[in-house]
Amino acid sequence: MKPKNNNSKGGDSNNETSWLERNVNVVIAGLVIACIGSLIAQFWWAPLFAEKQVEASHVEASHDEGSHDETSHDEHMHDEASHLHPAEFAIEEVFGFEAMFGFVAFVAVVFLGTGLRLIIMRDEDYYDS
Amino acid sequence: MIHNFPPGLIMVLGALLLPFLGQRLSAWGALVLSSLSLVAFWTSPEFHAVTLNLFGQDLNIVRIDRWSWIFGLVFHLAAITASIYALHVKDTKQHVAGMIYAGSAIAACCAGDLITLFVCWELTAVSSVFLIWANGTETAYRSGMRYLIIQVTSGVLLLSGAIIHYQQTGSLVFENFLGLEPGQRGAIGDLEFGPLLILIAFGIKGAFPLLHNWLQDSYPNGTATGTVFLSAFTTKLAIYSLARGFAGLEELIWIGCAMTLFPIVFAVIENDLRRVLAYSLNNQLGFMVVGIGIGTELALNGTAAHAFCHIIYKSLLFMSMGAVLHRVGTTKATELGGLHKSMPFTTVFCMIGGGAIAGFPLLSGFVSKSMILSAAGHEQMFAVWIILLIASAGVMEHSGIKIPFFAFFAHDSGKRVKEAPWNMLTAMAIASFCCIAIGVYYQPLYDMLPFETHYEPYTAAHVIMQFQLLLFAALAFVFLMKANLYPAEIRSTNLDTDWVYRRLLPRLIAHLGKLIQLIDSLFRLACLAMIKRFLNWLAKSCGARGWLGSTWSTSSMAFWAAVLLGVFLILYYL
Repeated sequence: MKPKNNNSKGGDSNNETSWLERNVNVVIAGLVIACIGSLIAQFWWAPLFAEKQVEASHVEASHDEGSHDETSHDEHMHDEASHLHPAEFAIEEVFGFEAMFGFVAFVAVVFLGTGLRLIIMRDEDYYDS
Repeated sequence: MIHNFPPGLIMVLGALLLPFLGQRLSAWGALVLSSLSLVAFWTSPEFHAVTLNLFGQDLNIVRIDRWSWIFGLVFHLAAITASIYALHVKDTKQHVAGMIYAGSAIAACCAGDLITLFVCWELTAVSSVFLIWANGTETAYRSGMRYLIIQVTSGVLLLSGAIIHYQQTGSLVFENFLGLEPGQRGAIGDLEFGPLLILIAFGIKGAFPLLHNWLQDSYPNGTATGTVFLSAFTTKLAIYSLARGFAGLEELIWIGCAMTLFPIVFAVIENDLRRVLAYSLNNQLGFMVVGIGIGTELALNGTAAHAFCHIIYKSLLFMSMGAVLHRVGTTKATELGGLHKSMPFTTVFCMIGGGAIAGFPLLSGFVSKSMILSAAGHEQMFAVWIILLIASAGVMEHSGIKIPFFAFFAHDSGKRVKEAPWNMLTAMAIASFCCIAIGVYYQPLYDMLPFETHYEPYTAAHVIMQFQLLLFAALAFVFLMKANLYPAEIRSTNLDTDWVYRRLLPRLIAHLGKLIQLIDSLFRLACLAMIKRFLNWLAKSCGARGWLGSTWSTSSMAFWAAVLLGVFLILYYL
């Protein structure tokens, strides 16, 4: 939600500038820090996930030995564990996959749009003339 | 007693009384009507059905189950916020149209049979067009006309499909046409002709690729307040109908994927920010259509949840742009910028809406979109999952960044206007509150979904990955702006499929006319020439010197008379 302000040159000389306009770089710096933070968070989360998996396999193991009364409870636990499973696909486990994907997809969409202009852009009053 | 009537009927009938309240009070009347309707809906027995016998045919005019409940509820919420948003409008016609439109959409999603659905379907089309025409411009009039023709066509297809379906099966009940249970999937080849027509009817209203352009054509031409109404009902009614009738239809997965992708590219280069929102709406519908196609309980829950959240944040975004239109008089990006100084509240509300649609954790889009992505993951549909990820980055581009950035920040346009009126701010505040409330406290929403769920959106992995995707997408924006690679906003018209019926067909018809004219004139020339030759021949042969006109000798006449008599004699003996 931060990177909403960028590149503003402060408007006309007789117009006051807002805090955001004077501090574009602060906003960008905040964004960069948040980006780095999201990468670091993946480091922090990876071992956490491993623990959960151990827990889940433990639950599964106890489920095999458990009595019938516990079955439903165990299944529920197993369900919970499978929902905690973060990655449906192996590629999700790659460090920074989503980060790279977000960046590349964004740039690709913008470039595709720019290319599309060559084909479909007409004058503003195209349909009126 | 009241529960024996279709929900929304209060709004439809009440709307007819609004003109008697006068210009000033009719807006409040609309708000009272939609609130009353919500109370009636909320207090109705939880899941019930009402059957009406009409012309010997049992019509299931009310059927409220979990699907109808969630859509009916969010339609009511949308109608109430839109009514608050329109409180300053002193045009009774718009309030009447808005109420009939919202009421018939609510009745449609509580209809148990295809005929009731058809009646409500057409009523939404006919009433909503007045919200476009109310703009009063020639462009709006023409655009509204195209909208009406396309919407009514959809209704006619629905009716034809329903009749054929009835002839084949003897049933008008509106249920899954493939007879699929959640989790099962079928192909389009299994559909009979009747349901196929119904699918096309739903597809038109749901803005399927190539059938989509009425959406981007008409919504930006509605009034500031009218478009808020428009954005909520028509397309989501189609989503509801698709989920009810075609859940598990495999082709919908790919149709939905195409729907999520192509609008994001168009949105990048569109100058009119309300049209950007229309493309964005189209893209969001794609997510829901994918969910319907996957057809598992998780996917269908995701579709219902996403429709619920989407109606609220999309209304919010259209409200913020409507406020800009109301104050500045335009929503063209080339003429906006720097409005955060004069419209700070609207800016904040717009950013909340943008964050919700992009799917930032703690906002509503995150808890609903995740379900559809997870459903694709659970079914091991890798390509679908990747496409939805690309689409998510695309949503971040056009709605998360482009809309707020170019309207409220970017280059200062020097425009200094008043903040939006109090009623607009109130409506936006309510919608913003809902976006945050659902994002944080999602359990009530999950409890309303069509199927029971234990889905947990806030897993560490999910949250971190979503942050990575969105933050780095935002970083890409900063990078492109700094490198001057981001396409500048240009005043322009971008062609879309509407070009086919606004330019190509008229031209073809004009050319066809010319061709017919040419053939016609050639034919006439040929006939004239033949007549002329005949006349010449007549003149030549019957004229004073022609062989027929000249005087012949008596002897030759006597000779030919003798020959004739001779021939007659021979024939007589034969």
